[in-house]
Amino acid sequence: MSGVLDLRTLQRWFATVVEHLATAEVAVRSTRARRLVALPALHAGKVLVPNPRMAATAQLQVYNGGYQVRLIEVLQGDFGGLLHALGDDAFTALMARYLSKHPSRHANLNQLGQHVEAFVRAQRQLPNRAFLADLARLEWSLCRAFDAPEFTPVTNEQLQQVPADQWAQVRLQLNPSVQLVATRFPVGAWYRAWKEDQSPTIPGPERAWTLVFRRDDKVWRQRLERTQHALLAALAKGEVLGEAIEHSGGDARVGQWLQEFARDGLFAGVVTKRARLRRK
Amino acid sequence: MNLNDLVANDLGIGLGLRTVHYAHVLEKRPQVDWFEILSENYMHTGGRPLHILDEVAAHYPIVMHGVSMNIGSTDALDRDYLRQLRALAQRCRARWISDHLCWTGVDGKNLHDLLPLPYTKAALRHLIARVKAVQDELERPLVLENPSTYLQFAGADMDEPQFLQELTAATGCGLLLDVNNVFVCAENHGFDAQDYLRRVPWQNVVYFHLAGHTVHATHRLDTHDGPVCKEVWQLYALAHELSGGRSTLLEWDAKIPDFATVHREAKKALRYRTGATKPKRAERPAAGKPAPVGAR
Repeated sequence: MSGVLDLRTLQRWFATVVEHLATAEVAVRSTRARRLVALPALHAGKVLVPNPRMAATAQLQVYNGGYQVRLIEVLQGDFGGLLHALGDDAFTALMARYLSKHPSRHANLNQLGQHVEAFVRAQRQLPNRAFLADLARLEWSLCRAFDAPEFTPVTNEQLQQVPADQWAQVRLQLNPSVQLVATRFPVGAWYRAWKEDQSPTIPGPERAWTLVFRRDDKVWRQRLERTQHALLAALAKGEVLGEAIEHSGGDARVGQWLQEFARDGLFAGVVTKRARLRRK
Repeated sequence: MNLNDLVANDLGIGLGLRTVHYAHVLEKRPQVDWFEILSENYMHTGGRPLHILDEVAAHYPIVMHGVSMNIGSTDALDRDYLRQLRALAQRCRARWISDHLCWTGVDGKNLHDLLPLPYTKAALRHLIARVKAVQDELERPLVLENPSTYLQFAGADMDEPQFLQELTAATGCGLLLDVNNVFVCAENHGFDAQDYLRRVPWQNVVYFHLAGHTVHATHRLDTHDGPVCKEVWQLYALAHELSGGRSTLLEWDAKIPDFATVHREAKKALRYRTGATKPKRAERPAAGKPAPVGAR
């Protein structure tokens, strides 16, 4: 196989070169690459067929160069706000390091950004990292809502079928697109300003709660009060409605909120002691 | 579903279904023979993409084309991926499922690129076993595309056409012949593209891909970002002649223009398809239409 290499060794070497943060020229000299393919073998044409127009490392560079460009482009699409806040160069450098630590392990590129928030939060040298991590959390929640499994929302009419004496014990199941985003910074307001082509400045800390959900195939953002967030978070944990209302402080507006949540299709199931009204 | 049915099922001229054209396709319902989807765009998602696919599949034949099967990898086959692929094929009533003769990752990582294989006997044995396993899982022939490559591994026991001959003979899998990829590889590696085409196992070729590519000083890059070049059209004409005609698809994945431009480019293939090259009958002027003035 390629002179002396078995297929697995060849693929491990090739992957090492392709995903290296620097160039293929640097990558083939890395310790890991040299453990798999010795440089003299590469330069003697024992691994790649010599090409009169391109050195071996130039051929490999086609793959190395394409790797980062392609994947960072995906992250630019998923984290447009983060890109704006950081600027092109800083974003590209940060995401290149992200890819090195969190290479894709999924068939689908829509999973690529799942560790961005944690990665950003861990960057001690990154200015405004707490805000940027919160922003990444919000943007990833938008991606998750977009790609959440299919569901059929429960309507207000269906909710009204629940007998009054069972309301306290009912479990309202949130639809799988619902994301409850609690942040230390008001990233929802910053994000809205950015989407509206304003030039928002990075705000100071101020706790904020944002509801993200999908309705009619569109992803929506809605600012929540802390008690609304607590109510939905309790429901998400599987608490019965009576307990969830207690956890949200027993606000008098709970009935109105539940109707609004139902109108927005936030519930995908209603489980009473007697019957499961709807679940998907 | 057997390979002969796929080969004989000439769907006509198709287009890749792309996000930027969703609204046009749904609202205008253009007269397109069929659409090819990128399988992974409709997997691990449950919202808009799937609903649009349902709508498009209700009106057009669908072919699935994937980029993450990782058929050539030395990692274990991703059975979950294959099950989801099968479920998606059932959902959109896919005419067939294709992917690439390549590998995309190793040690659990996905590099999201179509990486080259060494054309050795050992690699061939590896591929044969995996293609058979995939076909068992999917319960249908797998259709594999010849990739564009920018290097060749030393120590090969055969060239690509022979590798394809051996692979198809051993597995009965189908081939997606990407004519642009043949040209790009021929230019990059210095072989004769026409000779390549004459050695293709045509009985296994299910459909053609056409696309544009980018010319660099040292190599050609398969970018799908423009119209098909003259040389590729000429090769397509030969491929059409040698095959007797197959379903044909235009890929345009970067710098994507409006739908009409992409469709117009795809329909150029009609010039090379059976019947379309016959001289047209002269059009007679409609009754009562005045004769052109000033024409000499």
